[in-house]
Amino acid sequence: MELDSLKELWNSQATEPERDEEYYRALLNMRSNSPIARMQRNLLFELVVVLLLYGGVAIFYFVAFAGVWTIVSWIYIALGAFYIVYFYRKYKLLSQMQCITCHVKSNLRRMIESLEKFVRFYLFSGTVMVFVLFWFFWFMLAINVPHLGDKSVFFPSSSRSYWQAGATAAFPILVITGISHLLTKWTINKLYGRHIRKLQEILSQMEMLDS
Amino acid sequence: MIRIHGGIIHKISRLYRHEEEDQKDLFQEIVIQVWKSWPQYRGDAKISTWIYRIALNTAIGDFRKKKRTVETVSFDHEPPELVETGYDFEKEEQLGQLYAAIRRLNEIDRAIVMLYLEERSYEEMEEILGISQGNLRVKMNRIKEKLRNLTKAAIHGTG
Repeated sequence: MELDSLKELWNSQATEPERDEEYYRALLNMRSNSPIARMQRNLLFELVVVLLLYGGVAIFYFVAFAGVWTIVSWIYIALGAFYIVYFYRKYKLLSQMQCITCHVKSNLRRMIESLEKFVRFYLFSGTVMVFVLFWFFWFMLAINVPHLGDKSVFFPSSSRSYWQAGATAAFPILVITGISHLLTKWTINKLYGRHIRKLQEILSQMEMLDS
Repeated sequence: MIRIHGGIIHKISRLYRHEEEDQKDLFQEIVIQVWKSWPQYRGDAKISTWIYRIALNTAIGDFRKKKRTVETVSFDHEPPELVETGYDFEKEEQLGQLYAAIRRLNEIDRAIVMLYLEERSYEEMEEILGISQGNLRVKMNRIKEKLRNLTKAAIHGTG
């Protein structure tokens, strides 16, 4: 079939069947199912769950044990604050991820850059969170649990200073942080790796055409 | 506005998704995106150019895993009333073959072929895709050749 007849065939096709306003109104009342919209919804859900959970734990340790463990409450409040910053940064990255009205090439470039930034932030914050959390708990136990150093080399005692115990504890904490880093990396690759590669492939198709 | 330009959205949905359900989902998503972006429209581009951009960005940028399907041309979706009103089966069959052939191209060539068939100017193609007019002109012959071969193969049942 020649190209002119293809054009003729293409332009002779019936367009969308005539729909009434009700149809479009119903369509517009549905929520967006784009990947970015879904990621934003998941993030909001995650924020609500984390804040409820951390808030609950913080209140519990304020009230229970005659206020001995209020340090735990403060740790959770600090973690909650950290999470809000984390959430804000991630949400902002998601909001900037797409320029739907830009031309296709610049939108693709923007999506890849933002997604890569998003992934780097995810990996960095996940690793830092585990590291900080372990040191928080180590410090809290070292201060609040008497004679722990007599049972474990990782905690200070009468014969072991904070620095010595800390240096010993650093090894398992670094190992756990390393494992968590690898696990986070694996999860991120599973969640976003294929998408990034696909977008890069499409962009390279465009760049080949434009070279 | 969406009612007037619904044809563009419909064609892009059909071109970028094979399954009817996926086409409906994409159609819906594009309509939502056009509606949400409407306040940003400044009139610096033709409305059709603006809709092509949104529709293509939505279709190409949706990086979710698609259902794995065998590329076949389906003819069992025609609504019954069309049969009674002199529905042109032969034309629809040819159109189905044309869509199937274009779907075998990569995402960008697919967009270029569609814009070519829609008789859009090189200037408009550049505005939509972001590929320079000069390069589009140079590459167009290769893409046309690809399309010619693919449609030939689809009609003769080869390739």
